[in-house]
Amino acid sequence: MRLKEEQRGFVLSGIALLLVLPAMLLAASCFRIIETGGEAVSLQATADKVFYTGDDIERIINDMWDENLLANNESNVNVKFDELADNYRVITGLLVDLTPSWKLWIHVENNGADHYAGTKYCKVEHVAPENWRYYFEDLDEEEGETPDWDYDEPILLVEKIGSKLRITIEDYTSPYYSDIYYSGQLLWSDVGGTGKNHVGENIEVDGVLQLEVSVYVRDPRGATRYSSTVELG
Amino acid sequence: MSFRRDRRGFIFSLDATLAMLVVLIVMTGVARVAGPELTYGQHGYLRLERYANDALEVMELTGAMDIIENLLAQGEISEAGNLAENVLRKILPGEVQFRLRIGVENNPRLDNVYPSAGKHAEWRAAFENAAEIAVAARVSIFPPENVFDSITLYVWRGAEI
Repeated sequence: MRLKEEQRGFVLSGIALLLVLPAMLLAASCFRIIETGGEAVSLQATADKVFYTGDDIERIINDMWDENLLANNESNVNVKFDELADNYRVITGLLVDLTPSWKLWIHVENNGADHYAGTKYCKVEHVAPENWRYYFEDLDEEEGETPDWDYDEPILLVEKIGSKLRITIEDYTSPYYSDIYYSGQLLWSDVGGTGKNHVGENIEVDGVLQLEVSVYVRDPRGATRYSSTVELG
Repeated sequence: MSFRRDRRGFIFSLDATLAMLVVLIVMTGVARVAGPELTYGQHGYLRLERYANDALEVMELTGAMDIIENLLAQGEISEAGNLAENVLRKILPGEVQFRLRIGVENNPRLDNVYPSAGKHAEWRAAFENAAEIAVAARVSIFPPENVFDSITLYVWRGAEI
């Protein structure tokens, strides 16, 4: 097309085009940087929230142990961890999972059930500064039995001696036989029965750990996570 | 001015000048978008949120929160409120205002703890009209029933009343 003499305009020459192109690229890059910066701050705020929540949960769990809320001669104390997790979920909007893992448990030979501390089949009592008593029930509802809830099959005394735990079988009043475990370690087999096998015996185990609680906090998007294990004993 | 054959240079033509102007306008626009308002919008809120979380952390670490919880358990709500107010006023900077609530919204153990005693209506209005509010929340065990309850601290930037 030819321009007439009275028609005026701007002819975008090669050099002008070359200067405009980097400007557009720079602008696009800057907008991207700003967007990424905003996202980083938002992520930082979420990470802070997740960290503070996880850290506070650890503190509360330690308080629960120190104040004997987990060893107050009540059964099924694991529900307290569910209550705690629910409370945090409601006030923070974060996803909170608390998984307790008690170290002492029994395997009842007669019904095949495994009964752990922290469940309805066990009560733990803090009887002295470094002493705890574990009361187990060996009959199992899920196996079709009717438990008498006398919690004396067996009764274990746990004493903290330096860096060890001394575990003593104080009583076992049942015709059933059980194996007693500390974590994965078999301490006694065929305990109890009519002959009260092993009653009065004690064993020392290395370490003073009685309960481990795994804490897992994350935001609903899964962008930030906090994971730790609280060791109590 | 005429150039000799051996002299070389860059001729800055009118269209190159116009192109440079376009570049400068675009760069200025981007700089304006990423200006201090945006930086505050990102980092200012983060700082506010950290003020709130750190304040609760300090109260836990110094034992002030335990004392407040025990006062509440003994029914001494006014003393608990005064203590919380004094402690938070010392921890938080002057331009950061706060509201503390212990317990759930519809049935709190302690509520309306503001930076100064009285003037609750004015503080409430300041809280409700605040442009930006950061929240920190904790759970604690409350004696004598040993039940879990929440502690919520709201903070915002504003003038004292």
